[in-house]
Amino acid sequence: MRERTLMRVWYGTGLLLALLLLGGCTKEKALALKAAAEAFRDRAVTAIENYETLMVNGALGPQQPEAQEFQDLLAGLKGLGVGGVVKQADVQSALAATDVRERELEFVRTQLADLRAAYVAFAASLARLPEGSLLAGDAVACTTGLGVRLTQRMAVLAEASQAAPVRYQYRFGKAVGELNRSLKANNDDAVQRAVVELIETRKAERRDNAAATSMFADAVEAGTRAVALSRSYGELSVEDLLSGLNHILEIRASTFGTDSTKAMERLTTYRKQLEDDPALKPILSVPLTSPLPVCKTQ
Amino acid sequence: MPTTKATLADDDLAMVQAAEAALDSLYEQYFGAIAKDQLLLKPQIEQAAHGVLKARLLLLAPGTIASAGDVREANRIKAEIDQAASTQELVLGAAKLISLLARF
Repeated sequence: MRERTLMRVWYGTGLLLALLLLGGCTKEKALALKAAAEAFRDRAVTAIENYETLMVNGALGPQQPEAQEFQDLLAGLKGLGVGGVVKQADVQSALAATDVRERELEFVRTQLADLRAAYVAFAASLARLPEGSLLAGDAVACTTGLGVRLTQRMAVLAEASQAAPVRYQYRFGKAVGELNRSLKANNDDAVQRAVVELIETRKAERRDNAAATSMFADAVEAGTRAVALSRSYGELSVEDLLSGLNHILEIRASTFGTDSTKAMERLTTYRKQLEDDPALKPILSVPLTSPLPVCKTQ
Repeated sequence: MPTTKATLADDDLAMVQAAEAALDSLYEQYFGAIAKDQLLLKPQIEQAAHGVLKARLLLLAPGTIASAGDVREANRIKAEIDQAASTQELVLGAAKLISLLARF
């Protein structure tokens, strides 16, 4: 009887030790996967926010310094006042024009808010994983699918940014207007200034578009790696997971401003990685227009 | 990845580019105009820029937004803006562009 009790104590202690060891190990893995999801979220949200500003800068020009805004308003009001009186409605209209850029930026941010929120939700769905949630397995399975979908969306954005680069329309229009005025007035200095501005605008346009595509490609890379970690969560060792995580954290920010073709080459590599995983095929076959899955975070 | 929008729909891309070309023409006329005319054109330009941004945003989402007919219409409006002989005609051209982009 006593022997049997002793056996039970040994068995219980052994089981407890094994569980503790396993628990510690699982926690490390959970932390690594959680960090990978957060890195993906950060890359994606940063890329989207950058693109929001780029689009508004293209259509309505960059944010002007206050002094420039004052000069533009002054010039406009002086022009209106020539030979007459400036009406209050005209003044109100001219003043309201200074708010347009902010209003449009807010509009664009609102339109993309759901997309940004999806990446935040992706990371949040794994936030409690290290606490050893009973639903951890389900959470990992669901977030793998969600991660694939969100990586696909980033790939679409990378393609769109490369295929249809944002054009600096306002800035070019202003410089061309200045050029025409200067040519008409035979003002060589002003013509030169306008030409310099045209060259600078073209450079800035190319640089900023290449940076935007690279940022989306970075997010695709982080997403692909997070999916790979999540996909083999149950099989990988802690070292494997940490090594994978380090790769995500090391994704170069130095790609910004380089040729966007290189970013697209990276994109192709990472997309192929997802395509080559047979288990991900059913997820990839769901049209992108379908709603994103929602993972329970309890 | 055949199910991803691997390449953007041609008409969508052409639509955004045609709308941007029309906005280019508006800006060109706007920055060449005198202050009084600029004040008349400004609200139209802002709404046209809003339309271009909306079209661009749709380009980022899955699915098709434009038809070949829409693209032809945008190109026709751009030609009207280019040939506008007065500020009134410019405002009219801008209004047509805004109306076209409001469909998306």
